[in-house]
Amino acid sequence: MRVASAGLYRQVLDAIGRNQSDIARLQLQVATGKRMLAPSDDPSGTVRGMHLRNAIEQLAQFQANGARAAQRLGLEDNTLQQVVDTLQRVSELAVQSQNATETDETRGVVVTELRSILDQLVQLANSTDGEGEYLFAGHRSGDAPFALDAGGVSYLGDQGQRMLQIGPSRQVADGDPGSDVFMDIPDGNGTFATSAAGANTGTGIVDAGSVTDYSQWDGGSYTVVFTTATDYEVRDAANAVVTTGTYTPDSANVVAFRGVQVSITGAPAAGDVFQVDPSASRDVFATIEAFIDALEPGAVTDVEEAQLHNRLNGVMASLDQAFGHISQIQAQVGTRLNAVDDQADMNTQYSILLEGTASDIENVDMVQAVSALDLKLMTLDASEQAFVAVQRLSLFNYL
Amino acid sequence: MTLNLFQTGVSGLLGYQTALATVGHNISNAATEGYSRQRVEFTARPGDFLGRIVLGQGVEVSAIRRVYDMFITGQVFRNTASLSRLDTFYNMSAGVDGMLGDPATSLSAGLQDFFETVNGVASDPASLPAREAMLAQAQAMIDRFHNVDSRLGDLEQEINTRLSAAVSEVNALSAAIADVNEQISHNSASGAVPNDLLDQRDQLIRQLNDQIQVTTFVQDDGSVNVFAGNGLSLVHGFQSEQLGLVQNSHQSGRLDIAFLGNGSTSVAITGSLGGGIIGGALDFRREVLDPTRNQVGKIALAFAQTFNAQHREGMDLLGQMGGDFFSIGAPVVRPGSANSGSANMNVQVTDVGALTGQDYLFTFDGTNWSARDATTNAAVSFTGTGTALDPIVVGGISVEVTGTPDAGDSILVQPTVGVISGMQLLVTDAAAIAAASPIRTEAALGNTGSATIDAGTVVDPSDPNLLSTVTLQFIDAGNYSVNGGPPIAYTSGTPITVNGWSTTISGTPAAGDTFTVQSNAGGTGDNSNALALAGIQSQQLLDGATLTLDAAYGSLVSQVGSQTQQAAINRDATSLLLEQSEQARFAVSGVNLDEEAANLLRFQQAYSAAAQVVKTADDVFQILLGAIDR
Repeated sequence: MRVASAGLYRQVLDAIGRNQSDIARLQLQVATGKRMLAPSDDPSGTVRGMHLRNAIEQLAQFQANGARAAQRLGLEDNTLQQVVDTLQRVSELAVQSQNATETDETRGVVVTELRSILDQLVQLANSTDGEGEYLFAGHRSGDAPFALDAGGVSYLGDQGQRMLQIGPSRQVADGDPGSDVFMDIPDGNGTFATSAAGANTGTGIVDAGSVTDYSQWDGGSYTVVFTTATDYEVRDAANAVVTTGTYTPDSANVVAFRGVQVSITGAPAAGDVFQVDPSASRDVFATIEAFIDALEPGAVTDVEEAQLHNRLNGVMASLDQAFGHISQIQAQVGTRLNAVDDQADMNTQYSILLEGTASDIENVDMVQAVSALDLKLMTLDASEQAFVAVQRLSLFNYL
Repeated sequence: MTLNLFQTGVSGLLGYQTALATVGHNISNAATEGYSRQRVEFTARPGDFLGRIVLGQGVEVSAIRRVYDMFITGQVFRNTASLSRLDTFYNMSAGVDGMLGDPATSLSAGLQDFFETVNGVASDPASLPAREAMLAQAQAMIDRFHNVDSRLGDLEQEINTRLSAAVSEVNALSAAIADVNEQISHNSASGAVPNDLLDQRDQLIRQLNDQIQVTTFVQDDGSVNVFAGNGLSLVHGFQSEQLGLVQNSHQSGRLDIAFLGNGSTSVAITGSLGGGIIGGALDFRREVLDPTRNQVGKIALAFAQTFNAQHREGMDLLGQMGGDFFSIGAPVVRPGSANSGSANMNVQVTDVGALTGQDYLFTFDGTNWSARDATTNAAVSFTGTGTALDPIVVGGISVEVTGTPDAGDSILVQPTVGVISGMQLLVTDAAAIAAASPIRTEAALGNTGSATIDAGTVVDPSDPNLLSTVTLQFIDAGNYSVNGGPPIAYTSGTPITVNGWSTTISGTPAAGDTFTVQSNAGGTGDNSNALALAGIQSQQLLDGATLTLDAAYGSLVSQVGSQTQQAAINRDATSLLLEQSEQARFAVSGVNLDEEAANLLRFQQAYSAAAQVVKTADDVFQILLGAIDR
């Protein structure tokens, strides 16, 4: 082929230009470590990389949410443990108060302690998360949820429960409303509650009772009425006699009806009435107040002692319920903490996996890029030298 | 005889002088762009008849020929137009490509950053710093949208600038070609071939191809006619026509190219032009710029509308219902500048999921409206007639015609192009972020049944009684009353809808159990609406509810990326093709200096030899004179 002088220049310059732009590109790749400098370098790769980056950032956000949930749940767990410890002390006091050696004076000391325990419990129930939000207020977390006044403790929060997104498809509650934790606890044995009428003149003491056959229990109110000191009738709410029995004073007598049984000891007098009612909801604070109310009148006579015992039995049954209830909530909190931990592990694993894929897509293979750069530089050098050598040749040099 | 020898020698001297001059001309023009090397063609002069012999009379220069291949030159023209188109397209497209993909300007990163802060509010709804962060990121994201939109707007301006520069260039080149045509025609009439003028004209045509692809036809008188697009005559003999720029009939701020043809009426011919800078800019405008603006607008619209709707369903820290979070620009409606009727259109976006990112050109034929895709010009079918009761519904928008159209009137509807320019943050007070649900549900603490109530959802945030307290009381396990009204049968797990909210009670209630639904004012720790707002990030909103915001943006990035990649590949390939065709032209027409040096020697030697012939003729003559003298 004929070669034109200007064509020769052009050809070599074009080749050198292409080489230089390749080198500039490789240099940029090596300098940034990125394979794709613009989406057009690899449109689908760029978009995949973009989605992966967003997914990784989203996981980081879930991790932050999880950490926040764990922090709140940890605080809740801690507070609930303190509540349980406090109730433990109340329980000890209740046992102590039933002791026959107790006098009105020692009971007065117990009442003082109970009042301070009540304050302490309200304080615990009004715990904040350290950032001003109340732990047990439901959604109304800006205001103290529990108020103690003359009428007892009232709950001002709501029943809302906040869910945090801790994984792509996992939400966890970061707390429990105070209504669930402290308020809505059944009294008695959880199914029914027993009590002795205040007008009883005997020394009969009723225990908390138990259910023997749930299928027969109808959830109604019943009274055990002593027609004589040794005969009783069980009557339903309509005052119809359900069953009757004879009573042996000063030993444990089991009164059984409708799938439940209660045990009555001591010596009830004729006309004494014991009440069996379906469990009502009673808050922890009311239980303690009931304890104080039981102790405060004092007990001198046997009848008064029996009244005190009956009321303490009710208090102890409610305390048992509160223990059970709060432990259950503690267990739920523990489960949620585990879930947060689990999810955190999963998020981390997933994030590492995505990070690996993203860097495979986005990052340049250094070894390859550097050796390609070397090769290009060598080629450029050679073509420049060749160009100079060829340009030196001209017939005019010999004319 | 001697005289003959003289004449023969002189013819050689003159011939080689011409040849040497041509070699000199070649050497001088070795670096001239578009120059074709020239060759002197010698012919032996017809001899003298001398009886039985014919004696040669020397040499004459029959022509100075341009070494030229019109097919190769045609290839160079075509490749020039292609490369120039692709280069323009690529350069502009790479700007969009880089902007969409750069993490500093990417909408994907902007949306991600924003939703992170929404999540922040969801995990800590009472925290003012978290709320402030959400507002700051909302503004940052709007800034990103504005940045993308304004850079796309800048590109629209850049296209206008490029078109107007190219049009004046085309006009100047057409005029120059017409001039050269005239000179060539005069020269050719005298029988001489004006080689350098022909090269000059080729060079002008090549420059014209840089601006716009043209076709040429050589006429008998040596002039060429130049056509652009579909047979649009730019140069006809000695006459050139002018191109001009006119405002687009529907979009102010957008320029179209018009054929001014003898300065009479101008006809917009944008659609029929291709190749060159003009073709590249127009292709970019149609294939990348318009779709990108529409897609970005579509994403902004889907995002803002969905976010607003969810935000309206929430309650803020102060107990107020949430309002719109963002404002956005309305769909753009542009009646044609040539319309004679008074018709206009009222356009609402009714279904974000059905938005297509198309612009629609509605045309009235005297009785009915028809619609076309404004970019591809393909017919688009729709339902409805355009009245208030029966609006035209197409691609997620609903159109109501106002005023009276005349036959032939057209209206351009761009549902998404103006969305971003009107995008503003409406919530400026951190407390006004509606993170909470406006209602709360409660089971009375004394309930003895096992029924539970869920948190409830808002069905109609505009219901005036939404926040009124409603008591659901069970008369027995199978019936309940609303605010003491008549009994309603209860089915566990079936939603109960009252006053614009809906809630579900499940389980077995006991007679007398009550549940209340009331205003959530004071529920500052409630994050349920913030959770729903954060959930928009993973909601499939677009393209018939198949794409999340991020996926829609990703598909735009990959679309523009592919177009840019394609343009880059084609540009590189065409650039090689152009190099090859230029090298082919060089191989035929280019000057090789070594060859010219050899020719220089050859003709110099021949010239010396011819001079010797003259001298010999003189010698012969002197000998003759000497003989007579004796």
